[in-house]
This record gives sequence, C-alpha cells and structure tokens, in this order.
Amino acid sequence: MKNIILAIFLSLGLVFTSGMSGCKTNPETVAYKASKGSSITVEAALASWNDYVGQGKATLDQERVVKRAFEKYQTAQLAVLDAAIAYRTAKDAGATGTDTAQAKLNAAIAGASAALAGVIQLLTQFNVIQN
Amino acid sequence: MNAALLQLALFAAEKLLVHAPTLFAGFQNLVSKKSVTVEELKAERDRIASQSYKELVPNSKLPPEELDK
Repeated sequence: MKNIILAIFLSLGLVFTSGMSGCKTNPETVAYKASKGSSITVEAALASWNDYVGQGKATLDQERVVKRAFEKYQTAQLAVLDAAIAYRTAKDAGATGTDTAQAKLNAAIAGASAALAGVIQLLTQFNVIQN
Repeated sequence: MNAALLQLALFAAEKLLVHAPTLFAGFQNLVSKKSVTVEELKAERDRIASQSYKELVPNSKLPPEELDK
C-alpha cells in the first residue's frame, strides 16, 4: 500500500514538475501531461466535494463558489490546450515564430496552475480536503 | 516541487488509492509518454470542454437553472 502511494506520488510529482525540470520534453507534451494530471486531481477533489455535498455539509453559497472555481479552472485548462494545439500546429507547419506560441503556452500553463490551486485551496478551506 | 504542489500530490495520491489499479496504470502511461499528437491534444480539449459541475457533483443541491448554466 505504501509503495503504491509512493509510486503515485512520484508519478504526480513527475507530471507537475516536468515543465520545470529542464528535461527535454517538448512543450506541447508538457502541456498535455500537466492538463491530464491536473484534471485527475480536480476530478478526485470534486468527487470528495460531491460526497461532502451529499452529506448535507455544504451551503448553496459554498456550492456556488466551488462551481465558479471549477469553471475558472476549466477555462484555464482549455486555454492551455488551445495554446498547445496552436504551438504544435505551427511547429508541424515549419512556421517561424514558434517562440511566441511557446511563450503563450507557458503563460497559459501558469494560469491553469493558479486556477487549479484555487480549487484545491477552496476545498481545503471548507475542510473537504484535510491538511 | 514547492510545498503547495507537494500537498496537492499527497492528497491526490491518497484519493487515487481507492482506484489504484486503473488510475495507477493511467499515470504510468502518462508519465512515460514521450510525445503527443494534435489529435490527442484536441481529444483532451474536447473532454475537458464537455465536463460540467453538474456532471462531476451529482449530489449538488443547486437549482436546475444554476446547474445548467
């Protein structure tokens, strides 16, 4: 059991830090991994939230706040994937100026990380996720 | 990895234990992936776009007019 926890933790760590490690993974693959990894995390977090709501512990206002945070994360994730698609398409076409597309992709990833952190912070604040 | 991401990773790991076999295999594939195609990126985009709070939180007590927004 502990080995599975450690293996998943290491996998998650690799996903979240692959963009910062300096390893030679192309930017669109980093974006894809980051998107997949964070969507698994958000889905797990909202599954916990769903249980919490089902137990009658959440107010409607709290639900509204979480819903907005999820939608903000979703918008940010779509921006990442749109930027990754644009970058990869430009690269495949042999276009010059992929530096600009990569800069946009990096900015989108940073925005999505912040939106993801917002969802998790909220659920921690509501004691759905324990510190 | 900074402290916030560490906490995030630990939380996700804990939750993933419930579904360890399937999701662990998914993570193994994800981590070992060397490159991604435009089609895979578009498929992931469509998947994220199709998600909704209503679908992910079926126990929601929000009124239908708010859930369907």
